[in-house]
Amino acid sequence: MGPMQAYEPDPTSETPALQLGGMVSTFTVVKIERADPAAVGVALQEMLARTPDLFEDAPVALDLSGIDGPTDRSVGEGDGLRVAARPSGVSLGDLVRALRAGGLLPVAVCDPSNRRRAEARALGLASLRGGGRRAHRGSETGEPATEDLSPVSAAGKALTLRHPVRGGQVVYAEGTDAVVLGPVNPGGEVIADGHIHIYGPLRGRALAGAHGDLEARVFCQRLEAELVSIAGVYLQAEQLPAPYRGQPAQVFLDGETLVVGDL
Amino acid sequence: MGMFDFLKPRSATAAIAKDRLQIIVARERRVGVGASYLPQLQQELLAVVAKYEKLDLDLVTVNVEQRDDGEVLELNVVLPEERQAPPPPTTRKKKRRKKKRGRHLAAAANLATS
Amino acid sequence: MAKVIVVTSGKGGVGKTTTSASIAAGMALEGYKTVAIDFDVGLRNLDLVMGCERRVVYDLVSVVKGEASLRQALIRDKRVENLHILPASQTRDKEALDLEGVGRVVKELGTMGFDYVVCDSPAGIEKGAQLAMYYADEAIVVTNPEVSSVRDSDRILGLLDAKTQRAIEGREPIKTHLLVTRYSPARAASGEMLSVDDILELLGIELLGVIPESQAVLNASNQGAPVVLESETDAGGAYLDVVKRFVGEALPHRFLEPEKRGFFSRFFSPSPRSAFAG
Repeated sequence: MGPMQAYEPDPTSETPALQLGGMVSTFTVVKIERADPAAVGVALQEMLARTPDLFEDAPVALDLSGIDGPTDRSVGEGDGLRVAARPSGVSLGDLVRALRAGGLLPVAVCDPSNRRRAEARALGLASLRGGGRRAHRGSETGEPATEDLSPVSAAGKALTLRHPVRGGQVVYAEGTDAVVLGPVNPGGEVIADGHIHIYGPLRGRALAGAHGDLEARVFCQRLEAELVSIAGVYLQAEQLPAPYRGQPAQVFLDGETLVVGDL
Repeated sequence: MGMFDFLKPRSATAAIAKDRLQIIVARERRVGVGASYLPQLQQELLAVVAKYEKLDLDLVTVNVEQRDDGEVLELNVVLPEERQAPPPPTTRKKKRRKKKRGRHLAAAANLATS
Repeated sequence: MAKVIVVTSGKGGVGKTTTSASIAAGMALEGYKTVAIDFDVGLRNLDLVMGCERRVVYDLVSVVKGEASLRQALIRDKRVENLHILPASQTRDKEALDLEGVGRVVKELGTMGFDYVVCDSPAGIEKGAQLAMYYADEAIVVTNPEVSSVRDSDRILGLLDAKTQRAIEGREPIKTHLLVTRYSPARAASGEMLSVDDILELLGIELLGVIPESQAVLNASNQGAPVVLESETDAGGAYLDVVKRFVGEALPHRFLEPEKRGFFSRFFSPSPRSAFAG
């Protein structure tokens, strides 16, 4: 430390007050299917009753195409911003309050046609015009997935992980398969829109077909999972058939049922 | 460990631990506030001295010492030699120079223990 | 450039501070200029285990905040040459430390000619633990043969892979070593305790050493001496092995199997190891 000219209390003062950076993140899209905030609240409570930790403080984006009508342009293209049919009469504020009451943190509205922009802004939400790539699993009302909402298939290059997935880590293979060259440890979670291949023991959670691909499968060299799921249908540790526990196995959907079979 | 070690009443190290803890606890209770005001005190004293002298923080020490007659707060500042400053009283200068190169500002104060 | 080692575990009470003290003292015994830094702001303990609690004036926080220089805050060990301690503050709040400040301290220690900087992490996976690991080149993950401890170590290993400077800058990943402490080979053999193999299977990292459950650890901490300085004891010897392995000596692992000894050798063994161990 050199001689001090004067009394200098803060040696870190050259650091700028803010810095900009970029980040790519995924979040859950909540598609609102009924123009009724109360019904949305009830549906949410039901979901939370089944899986209490599912959404805890999770940032979510709202998709209102189910109630405001489909947009009349392809998502993600840079054409002009046409204002489509008037949005449904539901106030965005009421919907947001219902979601917040359920522990969700709405941060944005998917609004390709810019219809809800002013409302979103007043609520401190972002309007996402790009829309991102999305797909939906069949909704609670049994409505079949519509054509433009077909499941994301695992067309892209698989996400390969050369390290173990350890407790507390969550890995998401967006739009593709996940290949794990090592174990998935307790508390670790692998999510993929396509298949999940684990060359090691599966001791944590594996959720394949996360966006509704009913053909997705989970393969592992040793099945000791806390949870396995295909397209939202899941089995917990105690539901895994005894003969497959600790054995090589694959998990897939047969109709509505999740099946564990030989590898 | 010898054959009959287990017959000894107890290992001596627990007694050492107890002694150490008593000292620590007593000290922490007493200087609970004192321990944290030292850096602050040093800063403020430095600010004063820095008005008149160029200072190197490394050459400043502030200490609270426990002596038989109570606590002594000691401040020792070594001033850089190259800088020409008004000479301090001659008697004092001589004495300090013998001790160490450079000029010293030293102060000690007795703290009343409450 | 100093090599930065973090001693971490996730779970509390598994022997991080004991390990930090002994690793640092052991490195110094081997001739490396070493400093042990206590990152447990608010609950400082390293100075107690190393027996310099009465000499603490300044601490890591005062250095980070520019209230004292590093040279003023470093405490030189009286027993082992080359060994220094940078204590934690007991009175400050945890927010006092930040990445940038800690980075400056680590860098300056490098310019002061230190070979090893041993960072004693606080328990948990929060900010304090992440600060302690951020600049590390290697990590010693301390684990007890107990489910909760192993699982927490797994989480810490995940953080080491993701939240350290090496990971963030995409450099060569941090090297991780497993140290199993409070191990009782006899109880592991009889199935009452997770074995080292069980732990290795789950964590999948290299085994640096096994420290047996031992009275010597308590004796040493009572006296404020790193147990490695009492290398004739079982735990002290085990720590010395660990240090030697760390700096590159190939030593076989000990304390993996229960000692098989006859009745008489139990009582008349020349070994200084406790006859009643296990």
